[in-house]
Amino acid sequence: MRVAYIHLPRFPLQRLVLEQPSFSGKPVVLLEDVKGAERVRFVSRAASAAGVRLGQTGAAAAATVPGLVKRRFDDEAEWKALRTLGESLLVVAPAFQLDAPDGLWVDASAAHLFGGEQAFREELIARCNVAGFRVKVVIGSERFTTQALCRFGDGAIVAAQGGRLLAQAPLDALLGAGLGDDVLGPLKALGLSTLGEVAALPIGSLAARFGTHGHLVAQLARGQDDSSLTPEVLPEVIDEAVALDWPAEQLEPVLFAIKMVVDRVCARLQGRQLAAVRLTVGLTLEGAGLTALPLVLARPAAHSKLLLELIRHRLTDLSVKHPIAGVRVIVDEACPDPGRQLMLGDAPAGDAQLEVVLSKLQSALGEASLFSAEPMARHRPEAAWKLAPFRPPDTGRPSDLWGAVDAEWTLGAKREEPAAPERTKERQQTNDQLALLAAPAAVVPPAPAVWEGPRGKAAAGPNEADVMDVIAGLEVGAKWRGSKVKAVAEAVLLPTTLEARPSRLFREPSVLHAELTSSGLLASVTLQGRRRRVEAMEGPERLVGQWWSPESVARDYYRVQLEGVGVLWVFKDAADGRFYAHGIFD
Amino acid sequence: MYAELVCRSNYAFLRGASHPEELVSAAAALGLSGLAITDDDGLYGLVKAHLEAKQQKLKLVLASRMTLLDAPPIALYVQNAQGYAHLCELISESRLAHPKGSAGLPWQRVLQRAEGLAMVLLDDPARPHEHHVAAALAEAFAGRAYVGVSRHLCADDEARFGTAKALSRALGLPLLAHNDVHTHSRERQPLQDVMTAIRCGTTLANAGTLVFPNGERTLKSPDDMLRLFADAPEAIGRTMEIVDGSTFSFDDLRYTFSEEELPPGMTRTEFLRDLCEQGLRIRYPSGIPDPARKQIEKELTLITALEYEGYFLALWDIVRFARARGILCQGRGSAANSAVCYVLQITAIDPVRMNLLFERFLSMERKEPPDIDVDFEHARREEVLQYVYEKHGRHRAAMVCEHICFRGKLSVKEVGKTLGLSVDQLDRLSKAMDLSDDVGPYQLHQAGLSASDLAVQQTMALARQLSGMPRHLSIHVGGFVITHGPLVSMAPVEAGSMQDRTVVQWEKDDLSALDILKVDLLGLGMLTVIARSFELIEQVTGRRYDMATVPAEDPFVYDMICDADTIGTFQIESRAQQNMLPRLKPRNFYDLVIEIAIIRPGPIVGEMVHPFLRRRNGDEPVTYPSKEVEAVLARTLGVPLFQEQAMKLSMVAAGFSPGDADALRRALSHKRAHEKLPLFRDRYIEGCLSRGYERHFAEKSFDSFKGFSHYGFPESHSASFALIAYASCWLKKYYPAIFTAALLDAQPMGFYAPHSLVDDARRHGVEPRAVDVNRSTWKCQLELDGRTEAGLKRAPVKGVLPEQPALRLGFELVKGLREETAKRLVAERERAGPFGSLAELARRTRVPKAELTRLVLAGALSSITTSRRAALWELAALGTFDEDDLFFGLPMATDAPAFPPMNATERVATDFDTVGLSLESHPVGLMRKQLQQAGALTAEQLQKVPSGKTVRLGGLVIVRQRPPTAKGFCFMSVEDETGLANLVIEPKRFEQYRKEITGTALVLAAGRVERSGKVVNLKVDHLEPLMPEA
Repeated sequence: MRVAYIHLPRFPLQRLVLEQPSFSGKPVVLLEDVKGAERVRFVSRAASAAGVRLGQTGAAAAATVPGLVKRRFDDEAEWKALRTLGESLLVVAPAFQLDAPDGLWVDASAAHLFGGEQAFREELIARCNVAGFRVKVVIGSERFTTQALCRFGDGAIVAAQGGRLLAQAPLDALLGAGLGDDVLGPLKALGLSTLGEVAALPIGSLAARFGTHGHLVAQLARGQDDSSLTPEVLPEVIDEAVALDWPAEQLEPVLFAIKMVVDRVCARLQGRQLAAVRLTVGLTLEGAGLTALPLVLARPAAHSKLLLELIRHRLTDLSVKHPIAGVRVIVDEACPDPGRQLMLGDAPAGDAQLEVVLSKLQSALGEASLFSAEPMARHRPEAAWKLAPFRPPDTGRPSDLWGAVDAEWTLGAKREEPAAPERTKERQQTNDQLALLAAPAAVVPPAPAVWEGPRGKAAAGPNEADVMDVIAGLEVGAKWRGSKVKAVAEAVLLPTTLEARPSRLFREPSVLHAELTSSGLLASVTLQGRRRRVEAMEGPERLVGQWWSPESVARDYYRVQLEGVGVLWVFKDAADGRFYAHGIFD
Repeated sequence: MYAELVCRSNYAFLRGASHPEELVSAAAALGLSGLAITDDDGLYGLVKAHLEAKQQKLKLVLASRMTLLDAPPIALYVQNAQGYAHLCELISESRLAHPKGSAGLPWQRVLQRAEGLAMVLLDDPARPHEHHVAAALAEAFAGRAYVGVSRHLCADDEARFGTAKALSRALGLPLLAHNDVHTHSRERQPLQDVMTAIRCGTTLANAGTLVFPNGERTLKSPDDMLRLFADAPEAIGRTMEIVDGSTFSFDDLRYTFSEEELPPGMTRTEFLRDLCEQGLRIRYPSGIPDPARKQIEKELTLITALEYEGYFLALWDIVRFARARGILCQGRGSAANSAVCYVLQITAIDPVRMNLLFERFLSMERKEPPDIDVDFEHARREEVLQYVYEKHGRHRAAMVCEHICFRGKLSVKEVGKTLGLSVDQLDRLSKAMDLSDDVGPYQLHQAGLSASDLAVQQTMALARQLSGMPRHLSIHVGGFVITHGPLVSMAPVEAGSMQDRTVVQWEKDDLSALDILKVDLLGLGMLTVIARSFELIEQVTGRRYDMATVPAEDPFVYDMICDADTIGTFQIESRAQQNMLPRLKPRNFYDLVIEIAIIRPGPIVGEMVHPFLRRRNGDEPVTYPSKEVEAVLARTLGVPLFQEQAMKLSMVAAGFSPGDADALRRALSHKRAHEKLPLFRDRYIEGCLSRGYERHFAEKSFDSFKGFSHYGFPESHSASFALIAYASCWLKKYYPAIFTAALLDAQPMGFYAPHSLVDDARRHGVEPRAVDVNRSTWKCQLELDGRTEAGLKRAPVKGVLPEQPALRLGFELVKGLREETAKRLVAERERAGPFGSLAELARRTRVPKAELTRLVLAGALSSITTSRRAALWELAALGTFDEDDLFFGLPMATDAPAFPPMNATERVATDFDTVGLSLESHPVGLMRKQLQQAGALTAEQLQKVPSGKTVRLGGLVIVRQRPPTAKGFCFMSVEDETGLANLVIEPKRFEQYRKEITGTALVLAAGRVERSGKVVNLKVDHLEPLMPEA
């Protein structure tokens, strides 16, 4: 068997620079947690030249180089990115195996189709370069030999059992074969430092002393490796994302990122010989979560130009109030791509226009933006629940995104299933993320019923009309949503505290125009120009805490019976001494 | 009228956030009529609260919250003496039935000890009161049982109040209001939140509802409580029923020391007197001097009047036991001021001959129990402790506890974790605090942290608050409480962290405040070293020594001390002491007493060091304003160096009574000395003036006393230590090989690591020999081969050393080798002769492969193998260590490949890794060429460089010190292959090179040489890490 080993030096850093070109040439490190301490895992050339070393703590590295860019090393993200590259190479090779975090083997048995191994090697290099990566490639017959030579030696095309070429490779090359310090330690203690020195020892002696590991070491050092390439199992869902260097308020950087993501998605689709049927484009809005744009294609496609144009149209229709911090594309449904033979008179450009129209229709119909609240053990009422995917009792809705994820590939070739727990985890993760994409930024109650005017804006004066709208809206509309909120309240609070909590909580507390008694309690509240007398006031329930965060609170809550309105949940803020409405009791 | 009766202090361990004293003062300030501190299953902080309550004139009810295994908790309140005994018994039973840190009783156990106690049922949200349990408790505490109820402005207040009312109606018990206090003021709530997060092992961001929703669980005034319970005012007034019913306080506690077995027909007093008579004849064989007899009479009168005879008899008995077993021991501390202790052989210093002040030890005015500390060989102290347990029984003896508190780095680490600082940030903060807790913006910046980061700021502020809060209980190093009756009826007792140890819940100061006597049985490593040295001398020379027969006042020993050649000795080996020795030049025993006492914060802060040195060197005249003052200060050349001198001076110059003088000493030692001293100052100055002394003398002498508010040694204590220090110096002078062997056996102890000790021994002509499987034993041994018997046995006189045996390092130095394995190896060697090969050793001993590998790497098989690497190769071929494998250990019929030999650096590194030292070379020696190229001198060359010259020097950092008394200066000792050198780093340089100073093992320093007599320091201008060349 012939395999090619592709080594991508500092792959995670290459990837980072690719996604965020402004980091090019800058001192950058990737940090990971090692026994609780943040340590340097990858270091850029510039940082290395400035004295940053692998294994240094993050703080020490920062102290070494002023202006050092520090990013977290995300093992899983790197693994996925490497797999994406591998998938894109499936166009030229039948299988690949990852050697995370910065290498992979590909099956080179079909090299003759490209004009021989040298040409195949150049084809691999070229494809990686197109994807934006610098690589080294060695083709040989043994996995370990190609890996060790690619990482530690010279060579391009190696004949079978190229042990002779390995002689100068350091002992640490064996780490790549999965051998650890428990095996290498005793060898180093003997003063051995290269594979050549190990190869000079009799195999029997090594096997007698170090057992199977000794035998393996002896074989590998001689260039004997009979392990075969284990093709990587491909995930069901094609999902690519990029975080923007800086949150963008212009379309251009967003499109740059989307192009990168779509290119990767299309490369993966092409590697699998699939075409997308339905996509979801997600935009991460800074400070406002995710927003999702579902796209249904008129015709299955795997060409980035077409998809990109479609997405561009969708984005031009979109109005977002927050900067965009990241983009993501998920292939919800795909089918085999048999290719298409164009006929005379065919106009592919017209197809793209059709996609745009269909996309707009899809957007108009939309996926239901449903969510529910999940209780959180927090004292601060605003933080006492969180957004969670909404699951209506009846899950048979055709537009349910979950259905799309759970569906089999409609026409796809049957692929080997990953191990059950892994698949479930991956699917669950994707489902969760999709659910977040599906959830709108708004919180209970629904938009018309939200008591507008966050406290920062309230200085301009209370919006009494809104308060009345809230009350009216609560009474007449959105009944099912209200019941949902109440159900959450029951779950989060102890039975004894439930009575003290309003059944409906406003998204933001709203300042009240109030007259006070001599003892500082509420006498009346003016709403829509009408003074409403406080008939009863009960409390306080004191909430003072979270001093460690920007969300520190110091409030005295009261239940206030307001003439002609009902019972409001009102608090007096110790910071400014004003009263705010925060909820209403049914 | 309202008393707060449910209140947790910080002795509820990570629940309450206020000190007991703070709670008491706040309660008094708020006008409460009483206070009960109800910490969980314990009375830990109540002594401190009691003392403060006496000051504040607040009624303190002794109480505890009790954890019940099968019911919600209750609070119990002492009403009388019987109730106190019952409470102590219940707490002890609850604590002793569980591992350290946990407690719990079946509720039925409480019923049996209800007499003398009042009870409040507390609520537990997780577990409501079961009617039959609550009813049974109500019946047992009939008339003294209540249902507790609290309101904290929380959402569930009314629900809980309703539940309490229902319980009250159902059981016919009255409601009693409380506030479940956790802090003395609302400002302490952030700390309480932090403590909650620490206790729950989470961050504040994730703590959620684990922390309280507000800061209302704090002490409130009666008016505030009345407003809170306006609908149930009777629940407020009812708190006074428990307060008024409580008639017992710690002042009523009567402690009786254990009664020794007395000879028939003799009282304790008679027996003690008889023992003193016998002791006098032993101590003064040539006739008892009058002053000694008078002193004994005076002390016996006082001891009898204070009824402390039992205490002295118990100590005499313990010391007698140790001596009978051949365990080296010696009393220290102020006990050495007592002639009775001297004649009972508890201490070794003759206070009469040394004119020591007895009042420092015991006085009628003070009426405080005497404090006697006895040091035993640390390796054999356990024998003594077990003797005490056996003799007095576990029901009458327990060890004193120590309240371990949050301090410095630990506080920062714990608080920082709760505030979400990363481990890396915490590590940085911790390093910034390496040599000082005082971390400012500059240090934070140096550590790579932002001083404007809110989390960092909050961490530092809250860590300061947390410092001093108790964290857990530990066992005091040697304090024992022994009682006549059952101990658990007098003090709560719980299990210690060590097996078979029980501890009382109070620390030594608490016991002292309650007049409960304790004995301190301490372990001292140097006594083990001395005892082992005596044993080895006897083995080698046949000559037998003990502490009393070590030749005294040997001038050659003092020569060595004056040269600061004191590595490994007792008390005078530190860098600061070594710096002082050539200046003070001790020439006799009392000089040594001064030397030991002078390098302490007290004399340093009191600015007594330099005046003393100037006078000693004749640079300043020694004058006294009167004969009386001269009598007090003559031995220290007119400079008061000891607390006893301050006491004596106040007596002779200002007319203080002995009791007043002791009160002055205690005021000087008090943590708030600055508040207490002005009164004494006025009295002192007036007293001096009235006796004709000049105001200048009076003011100057009193101001010099202020240094004693910092740590210092009493003269008697210093004298006791000086005896041991002298003995250790004598051993080092005449038997360096033996002394080093004993030091290595007693590790870890002292300032220096084994490699420094061995290098020092080598400089004294000792031949150290490596660990060897055919020669070493577990401990270090002496090898006599090649030495003449006469030379070895020559008596050490007039500076002439006997011939030194070689020092064979023991297996104990090999890291990763167990004692059991080493002993098995030695036993096999003694049974069937030396080992001829690695295979033979393995086959005969079956030493586990991992340990055999350590021996090979340590070079312990060098005598039977060609090289360490060849041995490793051979060892790897031995296969698994199967007992039934007949062929195990038989050599393989293959030639060993030629492995590259280890170079010197590899060998030295491996030696340090496995043995902690290398006999081949010093690590700095391997870099000598590099250092020469850098223009660096050796430590030896530095000694010859004239003052003021700028030089460079590289070395391994042995000691870093930045004492609080050094005004920001840092002192480092570095070592190279030729010896030690001292570096002095100014505060600004310290800040500049903080990272290198605190985080580098090998340094290259440049600076100016400062020479003062024989003392040579390098004042550092530049410091950098010394990196080996690749």
